[in-house]
Amino acid sequence: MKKIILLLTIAVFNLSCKKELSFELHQVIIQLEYPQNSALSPVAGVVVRFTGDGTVFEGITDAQGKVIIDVPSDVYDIASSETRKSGANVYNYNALNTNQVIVSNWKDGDVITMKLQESKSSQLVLKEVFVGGTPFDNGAGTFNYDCYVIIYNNSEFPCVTNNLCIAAIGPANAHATNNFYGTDGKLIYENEGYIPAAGGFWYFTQPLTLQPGEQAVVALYQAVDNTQTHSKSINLANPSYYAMYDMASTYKNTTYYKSPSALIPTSQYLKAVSYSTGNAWVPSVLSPGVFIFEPQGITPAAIGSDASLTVLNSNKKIPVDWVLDGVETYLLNNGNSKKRFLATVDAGYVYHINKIGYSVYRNVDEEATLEIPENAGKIVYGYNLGTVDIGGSTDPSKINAEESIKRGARIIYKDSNNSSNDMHLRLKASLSNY
Amino acid sequence: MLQIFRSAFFTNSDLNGSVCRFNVKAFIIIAFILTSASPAFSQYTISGKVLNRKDQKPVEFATVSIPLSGIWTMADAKGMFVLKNVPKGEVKLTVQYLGFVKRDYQYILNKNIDVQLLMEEDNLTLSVVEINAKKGTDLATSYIMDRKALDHLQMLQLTDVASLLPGGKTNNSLHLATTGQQRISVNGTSGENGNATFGVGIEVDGVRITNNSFKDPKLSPNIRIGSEGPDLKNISTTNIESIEVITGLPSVEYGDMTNGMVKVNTRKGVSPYLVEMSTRPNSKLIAMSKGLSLGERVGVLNLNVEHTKSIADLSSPYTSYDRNSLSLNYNNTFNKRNNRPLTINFGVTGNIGGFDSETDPDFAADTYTKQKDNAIRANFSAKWLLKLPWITSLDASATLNYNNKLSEVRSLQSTTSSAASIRTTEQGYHVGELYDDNPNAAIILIPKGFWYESEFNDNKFINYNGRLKANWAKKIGQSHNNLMLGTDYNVSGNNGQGLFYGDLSTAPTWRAYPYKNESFVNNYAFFAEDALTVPVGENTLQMVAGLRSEITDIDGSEYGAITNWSPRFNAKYSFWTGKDQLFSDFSIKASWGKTVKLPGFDALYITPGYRDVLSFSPGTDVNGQTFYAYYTQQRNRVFNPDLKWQSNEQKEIALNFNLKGTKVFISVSDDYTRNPYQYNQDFSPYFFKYTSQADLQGSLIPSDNRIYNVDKNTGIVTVSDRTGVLPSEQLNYTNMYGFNSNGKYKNGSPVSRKNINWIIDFKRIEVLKTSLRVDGNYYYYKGLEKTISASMPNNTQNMADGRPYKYIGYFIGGDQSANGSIKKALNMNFTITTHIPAIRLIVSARLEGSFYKFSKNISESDFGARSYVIDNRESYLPSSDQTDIYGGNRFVASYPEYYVDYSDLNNKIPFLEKFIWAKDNDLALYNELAKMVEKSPTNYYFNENKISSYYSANLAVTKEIGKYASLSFFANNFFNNMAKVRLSGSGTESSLFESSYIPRFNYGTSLRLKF
Repeated sequence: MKKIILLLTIAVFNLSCKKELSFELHQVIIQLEYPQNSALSPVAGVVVRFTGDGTVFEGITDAQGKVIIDVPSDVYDIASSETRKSGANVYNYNALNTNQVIVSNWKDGDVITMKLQESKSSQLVLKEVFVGGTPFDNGAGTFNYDCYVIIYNNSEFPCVTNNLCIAAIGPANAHATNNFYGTDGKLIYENEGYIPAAGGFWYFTQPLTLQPGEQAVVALYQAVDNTQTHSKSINLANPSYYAMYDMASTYKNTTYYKSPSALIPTSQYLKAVSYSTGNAWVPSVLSPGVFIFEPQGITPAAIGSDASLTVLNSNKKIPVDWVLDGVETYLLNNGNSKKRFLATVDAGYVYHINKIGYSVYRNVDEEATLEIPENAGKIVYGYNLGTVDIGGSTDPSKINAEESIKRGARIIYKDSNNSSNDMHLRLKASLSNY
Repeated sequence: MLQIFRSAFFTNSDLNGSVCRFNVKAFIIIAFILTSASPAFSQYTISGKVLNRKDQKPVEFATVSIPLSGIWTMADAKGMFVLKNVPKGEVKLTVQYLGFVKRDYQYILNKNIDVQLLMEEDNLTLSVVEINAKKGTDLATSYIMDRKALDHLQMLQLTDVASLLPGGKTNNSLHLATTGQQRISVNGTSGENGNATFGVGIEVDGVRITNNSFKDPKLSPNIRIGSEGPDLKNISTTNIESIEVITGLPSVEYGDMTNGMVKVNTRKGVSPYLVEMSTRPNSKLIAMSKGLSLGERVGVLNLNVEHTKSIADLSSPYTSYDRNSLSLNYNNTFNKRNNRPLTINFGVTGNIGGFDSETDPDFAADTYTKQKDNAIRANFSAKWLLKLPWITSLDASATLNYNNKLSEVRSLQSTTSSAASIRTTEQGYHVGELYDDNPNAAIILIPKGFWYESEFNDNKFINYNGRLKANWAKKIGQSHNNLMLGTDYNVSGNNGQGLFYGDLSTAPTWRAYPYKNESFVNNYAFFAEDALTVPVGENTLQMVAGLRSEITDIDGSEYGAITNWSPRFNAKYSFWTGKDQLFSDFSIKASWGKTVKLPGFDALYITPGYRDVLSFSPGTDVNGQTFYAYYTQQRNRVFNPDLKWQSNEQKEIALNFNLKGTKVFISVSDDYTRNPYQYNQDFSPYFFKYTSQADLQGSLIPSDNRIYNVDKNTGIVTVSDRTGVLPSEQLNYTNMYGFNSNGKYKNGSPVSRKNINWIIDFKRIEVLKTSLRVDGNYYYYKGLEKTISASMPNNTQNMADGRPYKYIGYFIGGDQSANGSIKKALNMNFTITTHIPAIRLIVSARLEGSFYKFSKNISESDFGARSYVIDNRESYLPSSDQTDIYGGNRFVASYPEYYVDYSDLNNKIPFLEKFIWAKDNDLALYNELAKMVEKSPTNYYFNENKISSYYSANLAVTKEIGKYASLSFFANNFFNNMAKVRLSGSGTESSLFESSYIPRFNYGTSLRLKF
């Protein structure tokens, strides 16, 4: 009898004490700080985005560049970016504070200052980076050698570059141990004005001339018609394409490098400079960090041999002034990623994944593209090659750039030196045909 | 054979460096005179019965022996035995049998006696049970683990037993499902110089388990480690009766080892049916054994069947390793009545199983790795007690070991344009052809597509051995002398086919190299050992002196026949044995000796190699075909005629005493390993012509009509017109050069190891029935490589002008930042054992502690400094103010001693002075030389690194349920220690959880049924 009463009492207690699900909100104040020498002052309407674990909160600045926002407890990446035109130049302002912890001990009303970095947009951009590989037709494996990058002239004028170099930043993966981070938690090159090119790089042997809207496709390994074996792969046997093939260099791995198609003239073979062990130049398939630069006053081969430019044994210091564009990618769903590129090159990141034929592709700058009078009637909307449903991203302009280009449009892509805004993870490589 | 025998005693061909010209013949003559000069002694007979103490039933087949006199006999069906011709005086009688506790009896013999020997059954009802290693009683320092200890440990594989040695740690590998080798290390670990695991001698019932003949052409040899020890996964554990690990100097009977001996003895004797079932998360084991008596005249047959299955991943139980073994052993003693018993033992063990990942759904469909691990071992031994005046007993034995380690890797490959697969063994230039056109082409062009490739590596080790040993035991006064002479013949070889592919039309670059084409290695050994036991008053002095000479004969090899000598001396003085006083059973032992390890096949026969360089690379046509041409060179098999055999010199002192019931054992040993095997490379330039697509672009012949030919000797490419219309064109080319690395085995610098082992068994607290054992090991290792080796750390870089790098650097001790290391470790284990005989239960809790773990990278050379402090990570030149590389948190650069330019290989240019000069005078040279500088990867690389203390605790329980069943349970690292250890060198912390420091939390249980 006693036992039954006891049980009933316990049951009643449990039912009556309904636990309320509650969560704490913390008030965070963000103050945007513009660079010292900048003539520009804070404006209202700049978006500040908090990205937490599966949540995104946004706030808009007031005229003083301040945002007051209430967020629940979490660890956030706080990002802000803004683009302003000044004369013929386009200036970008980006700031990214990673791993900002806002939990129960946060004092409401505390101010987080975000230092904005200023960077100029350049004529050449990386339109697409495809290094993830293509699945076999029977799904049993991945073909990894159809990789390519596309360099695009995003400006109004023809662009000529000499000895244009394609490199990858170190470490190969954003989630790997990064020895460039010092004990103070900052990159050792943050205030040194350079970024490290890891292992080696390739360069164009002839001056590269690109008209506005023209692109150069560079095949990394096998510039042949890969679609004859794997239908989802890329046909890189095209006389206007370029190939990374230099058997006189140390990049001689014949599993990676196959002789390019006979259609491609040898003047379009790139040459390699290597300063580490390794017989192939392989940017990461998980989170590549590809960038392009144009060396001033020194040949690419001399960079490779200059001992004073070496940092951490197998990287060379590339001055930020030489860098034309870079794309920072993080591996999808990996929380250990850390920034490698400086904010002036790429202040954000785009998620990347390998093995399933996805690439990272640039978003269309809708405003600038629609401004071009020749594009009237050629722009195609209804872009459906985004990857939001798996946690990736899509082009917010909803413009299908490739279809529009097929109709003769000239696309201007977004270039705010911030891949979080400028790039998305695309369901298919743009050169694929399935 | 006779010639070799003669040469052993008369030639001076001693290539092991030690000047030891021991004249064995003289030794035998002297010993003969000494021992035959003794007067005849009175002899008596000991007869009696061997009975089971519990039920007074006779113990048939029990062995009754007098070790010091070298005589033995077996009890018959009634338990009766007779030992004749036992010398007068003090006699120590030993009686032993499977399932019973070995017992010693002391008598003073001055007339014929009749005794009753009562044997205790070996189970948990005994008042004293040892579940740790027992100190062996022989002169050589050894540790014995009997079946009760092995049952309590619940051994899954042989390597688990190292945890019972003083200071030993529980095995980190929790399952067998790995293609990696499971090796045991007794003195020294892998990763150290001196081939520590290769130097361990392992025997199962006398059958040597060795991988001397192992070859793997795809293994890239590490510059410091020559060979690794054999894989022990396929040895069944349920049939083991005892394991003896000898860390000291073993008898001269044993050769081909430098880092300890592991002797495994399987069950021999009458026993009931024993069914054992063992389970733990990743492995399941079931076994059955029986010792069947076939009658007094016929003998005993032991049978054991075991099935073990181990899976790699619990969540995906497919990739597995199987071990299915069957053992049969026949043992009998004939001629007992005549008192000249002849004990014959014949055993056969077979194992079928291996690693298999075929069914694993996580791998791509139809791709897998399989590794067979099939073995058959047979051993035959005959021991005949002759009791003649000039010979006491004669032992003959023969063993055979055959191990099939065929591995298959099946993978999915694809290519989108021609892939060149080079098959030719001819030197020169060859152009590729399609397999369908010519299956025997020098270079096969694999067309685009995808296919499954099966790659096989066939190793079939064969070892056989024959040994003949004669013992002559003689009593001289009160002393016992035993002279042993023997000879040993050992053959090892590999009967495998080597690396081959299932489908030659899609196989990658490959040349046939059957291992069976290499000769077998024959090793003859002669050994002599004299053991003298002298009673000194109430104390005893034992001395053993032995000499082993090994003659290795390798057919068809430039090494010819090589002789090595291993002398070994042991002396032990025992005081107050068996006395009931405060301080008793005190013995002090000293030993010195040498052991030699034979090289593995990889050292004796280097796999022939070929260097293929792309010499012609036309563009790929629309069908995805590319007619590549390659320049093939034969890589030289470099024999080193000066290769000496690796040897170890050991000095040891051991102390044993009993202090008021607490038993203490301490041993201090010093091992100096000379001439460890090491693989080094040297470089030589080669020149070739390269023709590229650029040279082809001016061709007038349309690409569809082109036929390419390359001149085999000159390498010039000619393009001809298939239709015959246009004339052939000779293409331009570029002259290029590259470097070949030529490997050879050399002897490295000596390695020094010191060990202090101790075991303290505290007196049992009778009230709690609990005893405490503290055992520990202090280990010191120093390896410093001082030999010069060539290196091109940057042979994958080009010079600034785009040509291949042309300098070869010669470093002292290799091209690493450090050329040696010092390691010190202090491990101690505390084991609390509670043993309650009344309820047949034993519980043990063991704390494995690592109290001191020190390591330091060192860079030293006899020619001055090898490494210098640099001011910061980016500098190349030595710092002007800091000179001590061990000063703490310093970046260090290591330079080659000298370098050469490929155009003048004999001109050795001192590196550092030229490098400093070039900085100011020749910047281009400075930039090139900078590529050879090896910088330490971190600024704490040369810091002393101490790892803070950590521990892991194990718990094990064994309970016997009546006499029919026994249940054991164990939990290793049962606290699941998640603490952090601090590494003082880098100032970082590392978690112990799922680390390599302590084993993962693991548990299991076994059930044994006897009926």
